[in-house]
Amino acid sequence: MGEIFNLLLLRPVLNVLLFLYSVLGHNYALAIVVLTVLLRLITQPFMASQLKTSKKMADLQPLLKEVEKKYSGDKERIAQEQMKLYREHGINPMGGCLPMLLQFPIWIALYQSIIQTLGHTPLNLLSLSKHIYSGGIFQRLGLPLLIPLSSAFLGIDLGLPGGIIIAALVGLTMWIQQKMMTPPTEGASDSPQAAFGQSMSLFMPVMFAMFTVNLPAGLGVYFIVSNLIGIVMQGFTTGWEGLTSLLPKRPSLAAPAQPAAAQEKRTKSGRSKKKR
Amino acid sequence: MGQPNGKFIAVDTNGQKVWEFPSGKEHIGGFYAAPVFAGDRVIFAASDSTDPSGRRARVYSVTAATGGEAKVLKETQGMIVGTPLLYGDTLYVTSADKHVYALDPVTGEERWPAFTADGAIWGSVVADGDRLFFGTMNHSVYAISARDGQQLWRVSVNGAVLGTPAVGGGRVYVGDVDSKLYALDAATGAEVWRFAGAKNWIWGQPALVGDLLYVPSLDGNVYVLDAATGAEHEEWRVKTNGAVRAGPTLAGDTLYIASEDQSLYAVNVTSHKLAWAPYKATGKLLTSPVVAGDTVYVVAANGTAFSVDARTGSGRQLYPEPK
Repeated sequence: MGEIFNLLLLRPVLNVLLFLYSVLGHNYALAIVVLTVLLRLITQPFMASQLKTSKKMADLQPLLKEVEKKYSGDKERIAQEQMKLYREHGINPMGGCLPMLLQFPIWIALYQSIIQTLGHTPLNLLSLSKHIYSGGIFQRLGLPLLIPLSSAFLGIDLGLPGGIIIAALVGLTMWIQQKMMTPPTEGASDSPQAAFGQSMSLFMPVMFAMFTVNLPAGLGVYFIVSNLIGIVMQGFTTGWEGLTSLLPKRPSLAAPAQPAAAQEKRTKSGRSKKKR
Repeated sequence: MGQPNGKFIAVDTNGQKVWEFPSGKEHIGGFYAAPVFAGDRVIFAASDSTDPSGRRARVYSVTAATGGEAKVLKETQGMIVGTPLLYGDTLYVTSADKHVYALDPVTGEERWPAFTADGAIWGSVVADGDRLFFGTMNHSVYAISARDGQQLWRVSVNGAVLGTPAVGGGRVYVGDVDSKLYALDAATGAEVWRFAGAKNWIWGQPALVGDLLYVPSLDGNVYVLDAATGAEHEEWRVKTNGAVRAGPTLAGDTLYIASEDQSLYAVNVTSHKLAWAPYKATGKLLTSPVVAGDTVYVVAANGTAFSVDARTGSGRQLYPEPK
């Protein structure tokens, strides 16, 4: 299993990272950014389905709420009806988890690639020697000659734990992305699903930020860039409502141009946020 | 020997732990270099456990019999991977902080101001007469004066030099991560020949035995070269099933080779045949074997030590005591 992982994921990711480093002026941070974009493009089909699912789930919240009201007290019936709704709207409630799970092996491969390429212990370099492409058609690339890689970027050593600042940026960008994936929906704020979604949108960024504190800063850079790309993709797929809802509102300027219904929705949404 | 738990320990030939440093709950970090004996003291390097980056290091000196009377001879800003060299009355220490330090082995006082190289130094210095030779991660090989640390020459090679060069017969032999081995003129640094037959990095120190050079490679082979020309005696190549990271150790007419495949190989340098079937340890063997009398000692990366009878190849786990 480990050898399959190394062959299919670790070695390609590691060597592409080294190749990018060699062609991008030996700038390790830039190599990580470009690699992140490439990995995002590769995982785009899975990510797109996740984005669409999150949009559909948000749109379905009012109907789910209605079901809860209608069958209040009968949990089994609520579950049945909600599943029926999901089927009718072509939603797999667990469908959003799969893309996340698919990303885990990529994160692990990237983590190991960073550890090994910026490795500052003999064991790190010994591992690198096993995974770096050097023979046959790869000989011309001369990847082993890149060693040791320069890991400095804006005064940060990308091979060492990034600390609070990197961790905070990871948490912040992830929180924004999560907020965009679960935009505030009218009438749904009190449902268990909405409550769960809201707590997850806070829990995940905090957890990732804490997780990142002790990881190499290079991996933090990957998370930040990946989140920023996710925010942009989410915006283009499901709209920017989630992002704009995080910005301070100026109703006196916007009100005259808004239809009455939209104005009412915005006000309710604002109240819901206050409740939370 | 260093242990993964951050303790430096002494064990007797029966495998009983005699002392540990530091005692109690304290620990001092990772060990990458082998210890050195200086009179009744043992000198070793360890990473500074209080440094979050794990890069700073210290050179300690303790009484060999008890592990007491500890003294820090030197603190460096980079790891110490290469084993310090005691040559004459001076201890030469290399560090990933790019410096070569020449120290009084008793007081730690610097004999001359630290020599600054162009890159991290992971190997040790090797001495020949009044010259010291070493390589850097910045693809350079240096010769400096052992007396005052003045640079004599510097040459560039293709890749980073991770290990320690070998010297003999007026030549310096050094391997790099481009999987090449270079023979350089010890007086000028001029390249005499290069060997490009290895399939992976050359990290361990080559062993010069008469007219032959034994070159370990991470591709699992020990290549046997004609030291004068660099021509390989392919028929004598020693093949193992794992990376050979450390340099072979010569004792008598036998060369002992530690391999990542967890095996210790013994090769007769006259017949070029295995002296006995490889001794199978438990754990990757990444450091050079040590020979004392008729016993070969080898320590695995997991801190387990083994003793092997040099005559027969039979061995046992020395430390910790097998359960």
